[in-house]
Amino acid sequence: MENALSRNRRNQHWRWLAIAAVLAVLSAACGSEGNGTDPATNMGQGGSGGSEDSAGAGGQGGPAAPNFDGGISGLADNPVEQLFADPQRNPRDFLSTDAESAGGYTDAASACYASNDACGASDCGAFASCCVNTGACCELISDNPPLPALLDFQSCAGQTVSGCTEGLGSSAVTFGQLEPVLNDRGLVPNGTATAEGGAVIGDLMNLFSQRVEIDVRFSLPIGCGGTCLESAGVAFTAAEPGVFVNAEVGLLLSGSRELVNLMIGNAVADSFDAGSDSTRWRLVLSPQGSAQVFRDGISQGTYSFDAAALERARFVAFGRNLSTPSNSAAIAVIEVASSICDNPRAWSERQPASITLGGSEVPGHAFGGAPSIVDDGVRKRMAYEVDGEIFVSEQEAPGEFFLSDSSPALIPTEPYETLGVGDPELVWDGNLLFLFYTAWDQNGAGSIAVAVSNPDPPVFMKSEAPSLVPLGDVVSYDAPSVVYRDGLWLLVVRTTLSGGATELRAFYTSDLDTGWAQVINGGLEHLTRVDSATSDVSDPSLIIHNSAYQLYYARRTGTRWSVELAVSDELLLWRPMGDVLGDSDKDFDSLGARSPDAISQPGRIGIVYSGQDGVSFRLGTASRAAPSDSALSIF
Amino acid sequence: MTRSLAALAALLIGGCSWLNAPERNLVPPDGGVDGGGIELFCDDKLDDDEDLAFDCDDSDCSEEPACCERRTPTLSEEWTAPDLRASWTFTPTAGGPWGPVRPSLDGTTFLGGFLPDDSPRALLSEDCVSLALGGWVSTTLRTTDSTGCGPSAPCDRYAGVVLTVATDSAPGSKLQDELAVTLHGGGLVLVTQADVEIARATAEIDENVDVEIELRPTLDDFNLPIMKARVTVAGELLLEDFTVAAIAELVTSGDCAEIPGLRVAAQGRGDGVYVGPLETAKQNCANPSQFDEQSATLTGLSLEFTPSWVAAYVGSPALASSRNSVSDVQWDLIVEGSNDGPELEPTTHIGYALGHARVATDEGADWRLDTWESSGSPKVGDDPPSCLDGTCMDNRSIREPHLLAELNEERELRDLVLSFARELVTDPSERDVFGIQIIRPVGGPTTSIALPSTPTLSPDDIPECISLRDPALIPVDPEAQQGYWLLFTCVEGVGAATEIHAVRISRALEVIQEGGGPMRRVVLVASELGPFAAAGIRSPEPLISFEADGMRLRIWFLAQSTPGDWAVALAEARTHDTSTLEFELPEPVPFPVNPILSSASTLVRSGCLDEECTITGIAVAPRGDDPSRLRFLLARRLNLPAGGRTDQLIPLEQTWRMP
Repeated sequence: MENALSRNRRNQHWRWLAIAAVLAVLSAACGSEGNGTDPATNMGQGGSGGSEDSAGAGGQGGPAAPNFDGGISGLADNPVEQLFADPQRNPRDFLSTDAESAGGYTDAASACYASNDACGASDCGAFASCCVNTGACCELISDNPPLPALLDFQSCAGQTVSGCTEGLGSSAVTFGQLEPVLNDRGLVPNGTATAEGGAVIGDLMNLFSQRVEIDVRFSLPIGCGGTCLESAGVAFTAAEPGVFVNAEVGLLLSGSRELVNLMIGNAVADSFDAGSDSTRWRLVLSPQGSAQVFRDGISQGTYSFDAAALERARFVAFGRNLSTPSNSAAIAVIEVASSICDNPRAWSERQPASITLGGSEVPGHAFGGAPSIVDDGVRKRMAYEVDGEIFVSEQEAPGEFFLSDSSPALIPTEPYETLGVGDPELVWDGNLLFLFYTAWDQNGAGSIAVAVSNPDPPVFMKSEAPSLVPLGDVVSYDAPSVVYRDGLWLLVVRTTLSGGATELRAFYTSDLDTGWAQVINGGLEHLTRVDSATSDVSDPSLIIHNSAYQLYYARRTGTRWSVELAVSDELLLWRPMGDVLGDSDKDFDSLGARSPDAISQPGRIGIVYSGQDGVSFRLGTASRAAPSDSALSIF
Repeated sequence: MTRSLAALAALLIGGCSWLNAPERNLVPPDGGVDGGGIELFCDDKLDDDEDLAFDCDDSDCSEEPACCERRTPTLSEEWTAPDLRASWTFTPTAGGPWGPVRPSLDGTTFLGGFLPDDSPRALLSEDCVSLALGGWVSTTLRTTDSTGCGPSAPCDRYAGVVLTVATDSAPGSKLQDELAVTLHGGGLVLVTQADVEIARATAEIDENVDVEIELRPTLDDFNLPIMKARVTVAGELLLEDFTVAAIAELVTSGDCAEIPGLRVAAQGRGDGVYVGPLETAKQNCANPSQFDEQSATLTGLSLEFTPSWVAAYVGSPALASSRNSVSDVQWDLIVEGSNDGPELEPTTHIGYALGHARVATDEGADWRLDTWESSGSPKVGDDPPSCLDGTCMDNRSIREPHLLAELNEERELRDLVLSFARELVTDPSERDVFGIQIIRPVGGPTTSIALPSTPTLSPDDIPECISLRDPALIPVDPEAQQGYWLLFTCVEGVGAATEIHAVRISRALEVIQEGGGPMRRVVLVASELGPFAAAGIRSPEPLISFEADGMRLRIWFLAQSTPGDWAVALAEARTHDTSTLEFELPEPVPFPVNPILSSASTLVRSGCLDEECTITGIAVAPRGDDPSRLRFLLARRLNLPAGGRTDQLIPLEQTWRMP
């Protein structure tokens, strides 16, 4: 495998160990006050940059391959064992022996990636990519769950609803003209013909990122004719119940119809025979907006609901009862299990970023471009570009960054940087802070260069030459995104071809001194290729999260930007998710978002980006819950 | 040719049954009809009906947004007003103040002097210009000084017209351009989007360069409405069929609240480059989204129906208009009502009945609130129709009326034909199975109708539909001598219906058979209409007009993009050959900008508590005194301040050049 990684070696005249040694000296000289000399101005002129070895695998990736058509070849043509997002987790280990071959692997991935439903099925657990956007690999909420695991209302007979739920470690607020009743039938909501009755139970839930499984048993009304008004149900609502409960998604027992209705959007989406008091109903709600109904363990169907409208969902037990409580429809028992899933569209805390210096906003910096965020274990830093220079700030709080001084961290100094530097990409390898960036030469061609620094304070020293320069029919590289993992560097970069088309390409190396080898015959180029003036793909951001690669990138359609996501286990076979971060219809990102840079955190993914409001692009931040250790494991 | 042979021939010619209607993209060039047919699609670059007239060259398309040429000016700026700030925002607003120069060049006032030149500067229209139904933007550009600039490269001095959603620009940056045409100092003309070149041309120095941008709505491959542009510069076509933006991305506030649009700007940088008079216009053909509000909002109370059966709900109106013997205009209105609210439906069975009201008005006049002759109690159905205590177990619901007015040449009422859905179940525990009943004559409001023992059409006749709802009749000839097409919603399951079907009915109100079952066609399928109908369709309200050269069929219907969010949509079909109507209905094509009325529309929200109202029904009828003027009755349900809900019937009108 070392051979494969070394195929693209070329003569480089700088060595990282030497630079690290220089950095150590510089760092010591800078002392703790952080007023060190700008390394960029002290570094020598770079030699000729590295370029793709025409004899190696780092050349052009051949014709744009479909996501999968190139897969079989790609699996054979790349050191795939090393390219797995989690080298300890080879999907082939989970697949049957039929899938040992490259073809079997590709076929399995192809079948799993065909749809979210397929990917979310248990037999696709081999692919960590299938944890994203499927409602699979969710992490059970065991600490302070928003709803109690068990609400046995029958055992609370004679109590108040509040008393009952408090006894179960939860809370409830009743509503309606009459107080709900707890008796041996369970919770009788006690609504009337003119107003619903019932109770809001537990805490707010985010059904856009949480999966909920609700098991419920109803007590059917006694002596209910064809027109009696007897109902009892459970549902999630987006608003406080008023006279009416707007059941966005839930189950409602209709006594007169002897049916259990699946309510979606406050309308009956389907109905099922109510069965008896012992009939067990299960409603499984996934953050992707699918509601699955089971009756005594047998699936009755899967339906769509608007999970995005239920980011602040209330759980209600509700209904109407005109009969005496002893004969009324009631909710006997509810069991709830909730878990957190990776829904790539469920961003929260979208907010504009502020950048201050000495407590004051730095003019124009909040409108900087190409942000990149990194966590060195002590602090988070965000690099960004302003007027062809790169600044590095430190995060004070989510969305709040500060500069230690007004000097840029990197300015153009080299001949290959005549038109400026941009697209910063901060990477922490455990010891040093690396700043990859685009260096624009006098012809407007971009190369990928890197500078390196000790973490505190960051003082970057440039390499002597770019590490990736355009060659052949590649006229420019820009917008690098780099991941360092277990001694392997992975790079995704936008590539501009001589014909004007652009595409994203992936590279890898175990030694930055030796240059980059291209991941060939995979699906990335095809997925991201653009050859139209009305569209654009740029700003890739690669992370490894929950044993899978997540590649965010910005796509322009007309004037609007949005962030798309593709996921992969091995950088070859990609599962495109489409838009995951777009216009918010309000504020700084009302029209769109671009320049994403994601960061993997325990149980969460953070992102910095540029929000589009039609006037300017402003830096912003967001994050979302995303289990980080829930992919199927063989251990 | 005998009728049966004609039917066979029509089927052979038609080729595909409506039951298996092809996807729109796969429709053959002749639209499935040989000669004398319809230019089905007015922007597909095909001669659909093979009459040698393509798209907009075919008179079939003259009223369509894709082809309409009649213009109504919406903005006309000659740059001569003393103070331009009343109508224009000087951008960037965050920069220092600047004032353009306005020289007269060859007798025309131009706008120039975008100085200082450290930033692009623009005059951005305060008001949005409605363009979503089609429109034009035109201006004249001019460069008088090419110093330092060549004809083939952009330079730092330029001026042009910009279409944008933005309300400002950032200092140093151009306006975000959905589309811009810019003349550079050296004579280069660039068409851009997102500041990326789309097309270019070269113009002479110191000569006027006329620019016209024509905008047309259409549907993309996914039936999403988009706006396309055609750009002409100096009389030469520079760009055609270019997608500017999705209609959903346009401005929907201010002057564009009803018809989305864009702001327009004259933008430039530096001196020696100018923007001349700027004009915009919108299409002046039939605009299905534009309604004239009428004053007389109706309720169950104003129609003098007894509360015993309408206390909780009135909706689903049916409307007919005719002239009466004294040349007044007579209006017949039938509604469904209930003494229990429809919100209880998921809990229990609610019963409904129909009531009839009639009023006469002067020509051109609106109806009044207090002069309706009313049936008082239900014309069809039980009183009360609903009860929650088991005391009316044998009641059966009557719902969703539709009225077809059959008129003589003087537009006097010859017959009213009433169709409605009637509940058919025999076992009280198995409710909600409906069939269709057609009744003629209907009589006046006080004439009760007894239900025939069997429905005109029952689900037993159409096994794939478990229930038949929302009937509406289309005559197959001007006198309906050959009968009707009966439209109805085919309910296939518990959720919202997704298909509207049609069955042929004879003049004698009997179902015409074909191949062992009712002669039936599928008319509208939700999944083929676009996202606005993704969650279901119902309540078709057809209107057919027979003209000398063919017929035009418009079908308004309710559609929901998400459950519960009902909106009014429109589809339309035309054909030259009305003789085929006995056997086939032409395929209705959805209007490019659907829905035409939604719960977000000002018309619907106005006067509602928290501006939240639900559309529950729509009726449409041509006025008896002016068939080109259509009267709509929009039923909406609104929240009451003290809780509970009530209903209103909102009269609206609309003029169509072709009735």
